[in-house]
Amino acid sequence: MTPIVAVEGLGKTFHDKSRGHVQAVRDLSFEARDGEIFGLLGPNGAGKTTTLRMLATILSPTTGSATIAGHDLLRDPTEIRRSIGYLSSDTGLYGRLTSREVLRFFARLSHYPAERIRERIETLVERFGMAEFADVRCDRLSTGMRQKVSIARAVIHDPPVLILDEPTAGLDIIVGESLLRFIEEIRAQGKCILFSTHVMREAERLCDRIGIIHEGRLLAVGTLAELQERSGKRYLEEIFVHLVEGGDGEPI
Amino acid sequence: MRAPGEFLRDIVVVFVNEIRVQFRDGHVLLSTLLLPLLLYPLVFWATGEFITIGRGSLEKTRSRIGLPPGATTHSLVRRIHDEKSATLLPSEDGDAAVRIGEIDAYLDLRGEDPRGSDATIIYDASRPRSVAARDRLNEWILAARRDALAESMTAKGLSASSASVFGREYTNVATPGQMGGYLLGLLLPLTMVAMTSMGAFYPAIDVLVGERERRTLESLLATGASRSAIVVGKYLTVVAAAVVAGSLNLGSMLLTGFQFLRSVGDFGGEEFSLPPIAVPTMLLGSLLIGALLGAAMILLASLARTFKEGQSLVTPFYSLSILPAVVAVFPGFRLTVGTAFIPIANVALTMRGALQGEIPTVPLLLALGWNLLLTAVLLAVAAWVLRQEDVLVGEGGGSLTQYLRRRLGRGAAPRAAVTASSGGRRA
Repeated sequence: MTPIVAVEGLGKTFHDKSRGHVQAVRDLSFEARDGEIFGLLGPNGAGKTTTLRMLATILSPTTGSATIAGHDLLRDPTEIRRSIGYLSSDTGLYGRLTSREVLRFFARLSHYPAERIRERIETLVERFGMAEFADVRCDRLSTGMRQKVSIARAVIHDPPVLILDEPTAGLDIIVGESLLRFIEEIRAQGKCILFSTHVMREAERLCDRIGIIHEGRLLAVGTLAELQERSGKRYLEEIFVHLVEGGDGEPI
Repeated sequence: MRAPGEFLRDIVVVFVNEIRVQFRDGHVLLSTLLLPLLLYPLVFWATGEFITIGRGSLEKTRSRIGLPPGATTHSLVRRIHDEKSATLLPSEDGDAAVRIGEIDAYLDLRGEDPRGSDATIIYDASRPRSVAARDRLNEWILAARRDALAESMTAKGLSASSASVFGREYTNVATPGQMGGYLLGLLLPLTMVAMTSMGAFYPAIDVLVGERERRTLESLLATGASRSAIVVGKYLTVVAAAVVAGSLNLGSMLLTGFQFLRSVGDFGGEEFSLPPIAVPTMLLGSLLIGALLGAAMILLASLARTFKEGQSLVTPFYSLSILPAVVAVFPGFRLTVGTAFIPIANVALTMRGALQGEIPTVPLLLALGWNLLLTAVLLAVAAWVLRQEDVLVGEGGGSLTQYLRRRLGRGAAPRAAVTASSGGRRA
């Protein structure tokens, strides 16, 4: 089966006033398929966010290339953006708009068929239990409510690929759990989800395949079973430490 | 290849959303709607009331006229004594008495001729009451002179009217339109520029820096809309806010300004009017100012990392941008081939010319072309800066000069993903 996401040798170098040129991501390659949750697992500063921001076309890669849903990252960024839903932990909302207005705006901007926008919004309002606050301005919503709106916003145009950058960070247990269930639900619908986290349990529970990233390098890629087998370790924490400390993990 | 219709549709979607977001913000509402709608009626009403009250109060007040001791027998003094609005007070040192406000004016009579002599009126121009006393004395002296001459002519067997050799009357040839245009032309262009610029101020900062602070910019950039459509949509929002502020300012100024002039001025009972070209030209001027300053403000604000930093970047520019419009207050300046090339001033002078019914064609075309060219250049620079990745992610550095120096010094830094590939299509 053709991977819906194919990343080849992706790299990103930043210029920093005090540190000079910093290689945030180096020679990253992986693939992800429909109906799969691909997790990027790594500590803060490992390069997860930079990688996902490049795939969301917010940052340009310094080296390498990628295709998403058949579109080239460099040649068809607009088509890529129409094929993805992007959400990061610190994504904000338009405080002066209501939840419905936010969803309508993003649906129109994502070129979702105009005649189906209303129906799509109502489906998501119901799915996320937003009916009570759907017409309240977002600056008056609680963190949990805002996160629900943010997720609905990311999937409003029903994209085949979701890019979720540490989506559960800062959420309480109930909202976090609800989000994880939603991710499992959309995987069941055949969507591909690129998911970054530094929480090992989340990765173990959700991810079909895991890429372990550290200091901008992908140290290993595989299913949990494959990683366990290759490292000889049982838990993901142990696998991670083993790889970071110079284990024999080989990128696939 | 995307259809042009999609690009325009995206611009409209961004524009409509931004208008909704901006006009729900208190600062924008205040600067764009409330200030023009409420400020002028309030200022003109208050000023008119003060002037009316002041005039009424002066008219009711008796003027305290100081005289040299012993001048009571003078024919002029006897005449003033009969006036109800004068109180005569003997004073040794008239100059000092006026200075300390003991009397309103001092009539210093020279010569002993009881029928007439030269007089000096000592008054204090900084006190309205003293000025009113001077004007009253003037009228009384002129009337006394007229009567004395008539009496003298009659005594010589001549008609009293033959004494009036160089009588004078005033006839104002200015039409009501010219009067209205002249008076409003002194004030309206400057305030139009200031209010239009004020209307652009907050939206120009908020459309980009506000998005960064609210952390909505990334999700917006990750949508299917092109970056160009997003930038154009936001720019049009700033221009629209500026023009709304300018138009409301114009309407408010015209309504309340005419009312004010009617209430405080004596213009022979005629109604003011404006040349037909005045209002359309003022609106066009507001659009030109909004387009030019909007582009410049967006360019400056795009380099800011926070709203506060955006304010510090744009505020000095806002203050400076109004300065050239001050020329419209001075009657000596006109729209010429030379002044047509001074940004902002050329629009302010065009507005004043339109109010006064005189717009020279060649300078007007030059001013129009020059403004459009400047706006296009600023927009091109703004578009270039906004395509830079570091600016998009909020690492502009807070200063245009520093930013350009850093970029030029660093060489070709990575651009935003939309144009990253040499073979790539610009999004």
